[in-house]
Order: sequence, then C-alpha cells, then structure tokens
Amino acid sequence: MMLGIEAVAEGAYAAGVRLFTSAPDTASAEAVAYLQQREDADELRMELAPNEKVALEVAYGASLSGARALCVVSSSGLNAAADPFFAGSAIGVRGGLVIVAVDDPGGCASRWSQDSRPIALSACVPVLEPSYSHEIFVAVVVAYELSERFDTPVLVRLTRRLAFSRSSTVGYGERKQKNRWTYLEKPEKFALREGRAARQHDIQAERMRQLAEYADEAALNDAQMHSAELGVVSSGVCFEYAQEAFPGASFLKLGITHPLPAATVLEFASQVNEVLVVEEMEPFIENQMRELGVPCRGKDLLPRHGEFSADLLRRAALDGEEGGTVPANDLPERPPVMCAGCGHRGILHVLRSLRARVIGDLGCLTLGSFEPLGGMDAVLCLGGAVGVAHGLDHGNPDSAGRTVAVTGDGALLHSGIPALQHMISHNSPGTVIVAENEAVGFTGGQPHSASGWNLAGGSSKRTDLAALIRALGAESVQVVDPTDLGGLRRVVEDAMRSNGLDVIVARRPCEHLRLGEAPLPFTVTANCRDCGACHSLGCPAIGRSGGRAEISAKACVGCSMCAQVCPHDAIDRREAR
Amino acid sequence: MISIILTGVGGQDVQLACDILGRAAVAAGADTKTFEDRGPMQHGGSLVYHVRFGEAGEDVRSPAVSRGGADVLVAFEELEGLRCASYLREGTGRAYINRLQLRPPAVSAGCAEYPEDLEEKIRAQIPRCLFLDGQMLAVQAHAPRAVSAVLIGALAVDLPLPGDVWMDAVADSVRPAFQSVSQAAFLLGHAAAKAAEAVI
Repeated sequence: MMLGIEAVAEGAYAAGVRLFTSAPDTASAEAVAYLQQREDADELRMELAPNEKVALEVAYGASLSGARALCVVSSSGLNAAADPFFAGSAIGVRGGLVIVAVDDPGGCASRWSQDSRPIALSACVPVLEPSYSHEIFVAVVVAYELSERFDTPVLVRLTRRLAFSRSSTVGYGERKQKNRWTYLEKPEKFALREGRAARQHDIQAERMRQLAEYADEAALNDAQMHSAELGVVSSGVCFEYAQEAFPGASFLKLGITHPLPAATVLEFASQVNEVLVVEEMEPFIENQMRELGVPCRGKDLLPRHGEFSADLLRRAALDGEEGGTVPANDLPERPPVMCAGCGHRGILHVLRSLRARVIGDLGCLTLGSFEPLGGMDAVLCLGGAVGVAHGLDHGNPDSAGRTVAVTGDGALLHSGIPALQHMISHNSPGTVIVAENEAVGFTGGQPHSASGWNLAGGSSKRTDLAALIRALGAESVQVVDPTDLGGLRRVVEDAMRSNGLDVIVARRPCEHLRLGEAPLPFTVTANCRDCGACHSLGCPAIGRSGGRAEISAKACVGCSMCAQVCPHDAIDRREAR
Repeated sequence: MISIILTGVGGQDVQLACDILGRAAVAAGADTKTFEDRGPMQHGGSLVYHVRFGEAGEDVRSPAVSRGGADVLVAFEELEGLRCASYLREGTGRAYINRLQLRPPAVSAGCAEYPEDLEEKIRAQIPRCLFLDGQMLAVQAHAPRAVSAVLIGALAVDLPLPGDVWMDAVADSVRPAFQSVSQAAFLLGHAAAKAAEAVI
C-alpha cells in the first residue's frame, strides 16, 4: 500500500531522478518523509526551496545539466512558479523535467481551490492525469520519457484525494541509472532572447501536434465499451468515482488530457448515444471536446467546485440533484487551532486587545483566525501580508496607525521580503510583526533558511532574519518574545504610534522543534472564578471542569501566557510534573 | 465492498488505526484503498479517514466513502462520531464510539456550545452502536497511547477478515518497543466488543 504522493517519489526514484525540489507544503512533506526512509536516499537529492519559483528554477537547472529533475507543487504553488514554468516550456529541456501539481478541488487544505490544468494549457505543457497510486508511479516514469522525447516540461496533475489515498500496489522496478549528459557550451536554444517569441511559438505548436499524435497511441488511455447508451469520459480519481456510479456504461479513461487524443475521443463518441464528461473543477476536457465538435454533457450537470464522490455523480447525473453539499447540522465546528502553548498566539491576543486592523499571512497564524482568537481582518496569499497592509494604508490614510501586518517567517522568506523592500523604498510608515518560529510549522515543520538545518539532516548556514530586515533599510527592528505579553504589548503600541516603519520580530521556536523537556506545566487554583480570561487565548490545553478552568498537564508546555492574563491570580506553575 | 469511516480530533492517532486496518485488509488478500486526512486538520481539527476493501476478489474504485455508504464508523471522540453519523448506511450501519468528549477551544471560550446528552443523540441516529472506554482499556494494556489499537480491536469483531491477520497488522504498524503492548490493547478492545456483540 502506497500513498499517491509516495508513488510520485517512487516513480521519480525508478526514473533515475537526481534532484527533487519543492517548497514546503503538505504533499511534498509526505514525499520527502517517504524518500528519507530509503537507505540509498542520497542518490536522489531532496531540496526545499523558499518558494516554488526557486524550486522550479533549481529543477530546471538540473535538467539543463542533463539530469532528470522533479518539482512538486501545490496548485497555488504553480502560480508562484508560473514564470519558470512558461519559460521552461518555451525553451525546452535537456534532462527530463516533470512538475507534479496537487490540486485541492474542495479547498480542504488550502484557502481556495484552483485547477492547474488550464495553466498548463496556456503554457503548452502536456498534462498526465493518473487515477490511483500504481498509475501515478507509471505516469511519472512515462512523463520523463515524454519530457526528453518531446523536449518539454511535463505536468502530472494530482488532486488531494489521489495524493493522500493509499492503494494496493504491485512491485516496482529497479532505479534507472541515467548517464549525465555533458554540458553544452553556449547552446543557442537555452538563452531566451527578445524577438524570438514567434519562433518559439512555432516550435511549441509543432511539439503539441506531435504530442497529440502520441496521445492517440498512448497506453495511458483506455476505452472500455459496454452499453451504447452512455459513454463517460473521465480522468484522475474522477474515473474511479464514475466507474462506481455508472455500472454498465462505456468508459473512456484519459491518462493524458492535454493535448487531447482527438481520434480516440471522436471514435469513442461515435459509438455511444450520449457523452458525459466527469471532471472536478474546470471543464478542461469538456472544452477541448467541444472544440473537436463532440456534443457532450458535463458542467451543466456537475458542480465546478468541491470534491466528487460516486454518490454525488449518481445524484447529479441521474436524478438532476444539486450535488456537493454536506448535510447541515447544528454541531459546533472543530477547525484546526494553534497548538497548545504556541507562543505566537500572544501576537494575536495583544493585537486584539489593541483593536488593531490585522492583515495576516498564510501559515500557523491563520489557525488563530477563528474564535476565540479571531485574529485576522484580511489574508490574501502566501507572502502577501506586508504588501496588502501597505496598500490599505495608502488607500485609506485614516487606517494608518491601526493597521498591522502579521507574517510568519516562512511566508516572509517565501515572497514577503520584496514587499518590505517596497515599503522601504517608498519611505512608508507601518507596523510589521514577523512571527519567527524557525520553521514552516503549518505544513509539518519543514526548515527554511532561518532554521539552521535542512533536509539533508545536518545543520546549515542560517539567515539572521532581524539582521536581514535591518540590511534592507528598516531602521526600527526589535526582537521580542511573544509570550511576554506585557513587553510585546508595549513594543506594538509604540510601533503603532510611531510615524516610521517598525518591524517587530517575535522570536520563539515552534514547540514541535523543542529540544529537551518543556518547562513545568501550569495548574488552576481555587482562586478561579471561571471568568473566561484564559480561554480568550484559545489554547487547546485549557478546558473547563466543575465550574472552573482546567489545564491539561499533558498538553501544557508551560508558556505562562494564561497565568499572565488571569485577573484573579488563579493559575500557578506546578511544582513537579 | 466494506466501507469504513474513522474519525477523531487532530492529535489523536487516527493515522495508526488506518494503518492497522489497511495492513490487515491487504494481508487478507483484499483490494484496499484508504483516503487519509493529511494537512491542516491535524492541528486539532476534525479528522475523517476513509478505508474501503473488496470482498471475494472485488476491486475498490473510489477511495472515498459516500455519505450514506459506510458500513462501520469508528469515532475516537463523541462529537466527531455524531458529526460523521450521516456517512453510515441508514438502518444497517454500526458505530464504535470511544467514550471521550473533547471540547473545542471555541466552546471553552463560550463562543460555541458542546452538545448535551451526546450519547442519547448518537444512539438516536445510530441504533447499532457500542460505546467503549478506549483510554481505560489502553491503560489496562500498559499502552496508554494505544487507544487506536483498542478501537481497531473492537472494530475487528465486525469485519469479515480472518482472525489471523490482525496481530501482525498491529505489530507492523508500531515501533518494536510498542508491539506487544499494542497487541494487548487490541485484544482488550476485541474482547470488550465480543462481550457486547449481542447488544450491537
């Protein structure tokens, strides 16, 4: 049994990939954890880049050297990597270059959901869509052959349900030992220059024509003729749902969805009375089929958002029901929360008490955007807090002095630094709080350049975040411990009052990276009047029992913030564990 | 086809339960698929794992269980059990519920209310359900963190898998130092459910 994302790693390994790059995200973390278990893991070097643009550039560089390279991104990560993605397609590759994108149709693990296939369409990049773990393995291996044969990056598109599904697998082959090519001196092809765009487009068009011929012969597609009444065209995990939902129907499973295997599709459509296209998110296959002149149904019956299921397909396609809704109930929600004792909740607590307008970023701090911390007024995208806050104050000067940008160190190092440069070069006032926890905590604690360690397992050189921000030109940079609520509040108040740019680095390592034992936990004494002040921290270690607050000695890591906010002196440190 | 939903709260070891179950089904020769709840929900949110395996050589297609399509529900926490009740087949679906109530921080802060009389509400929606104290049984087995093994032990009573696949499935899913205590926890859960089989 293997997770889909593990099958990506296994496929890359078998294909002789030398370099695997990614930015920290949930899917790549699983692939990394899987590959690290291998004894010969060092044959396949794994690197986490600060962002997806760098990750793909590094992978492209490896391809240029003749080595095979893999870059794994989430769908919004492909946006960040769009520049090298488009340019890499225009120029072509040497060693096979495969990008695996993990889309999230339900927006379950991301803030919004986006289909990465139309990006590949714009970029003239072929798209493979396997349906379960073993096919993912095969698709990755085939993708490298296609990449080198047709001189193009290849996108293998997964969805969350595929990446995190485990299925029975058959044995896998040996690692292919691929000879490295020698570096080609001054190859005209690889230096993209102005004035050559038209030629590049001709090359891309010819490549897509040849790929379309290949697509019609590819073993990746599979037509299963049964009833002539209904013919279902599908790909990815949707093919699995559709087979369950429409027993007896004819099926055309597309392993390659761009370019569409036109002859295969036309032949299939000619043999059935009605064609139904089953795909999550955008009508990607459907639109291409319409261009071929194949009448079909699809998004007129099926939703454009959310994850499908066999049940949803049955109800929507056969009964005409609006699908995709989860039955409503009046149960209290249980969203993910900031961890017990995470010191960075102190930032949100202080900002709430100061009634600040909080422009947040993505990462663990967004877990504090739910009640009771309720910490964020707006969050746009990863690395976006500083730029958005600056624009807000510019657009509405009345809000200046109230607006605070809050970003984690991972988000700042991902793509927030240029926004700080922007503020500095425009002499902009403002308050920026950087929660420095020394890792990308949200996706499982991956390292970044201010962590001091990397995936290779050893210590690494380290970015001094406060010094970096000073070097950019920010004059007021203060480092504080966010669990010192009084001290933090004073620093933030001063910053909000000042007319300059104030950057506050709230430094406290992620609790999950703690070396050695945590300080002694806290406990509630008989002084407790159940006033609820401690609960405003939203700490999962604090519960309620018998008319007073109760602190779980198991969960408490001794951060002391609840004792600081208690107005009745009813929270003490335990004397022993 | 047997479809199972495992639910709990991020931080509880639902992953381990899923691993044991998947290994047992594969060892029994069944085509098996799981859908695992990786990602942000692991930070204290509601977790929902799906496990499906075929009977008599049947292939599993969708890795996800449809609403109203689950044969069995295993809940590590009562509120999450009630939340997932709609996954069960009406009338025939069974549930194994760990006797544990975890209040979300928003409830402790007074921003939301934890439902009262949860057991009654669960029994009203799922007539065939068994409550068991997984924590107590795990402590009895000297494996306080092996609630997963206890609950899978109970679930095993309900599944058409041969009895000899479970001990290895448990052992292969945990570190060597925890193998025998985890197996003991499995057996205590199994015995508790066996004793109550007539009830459910």
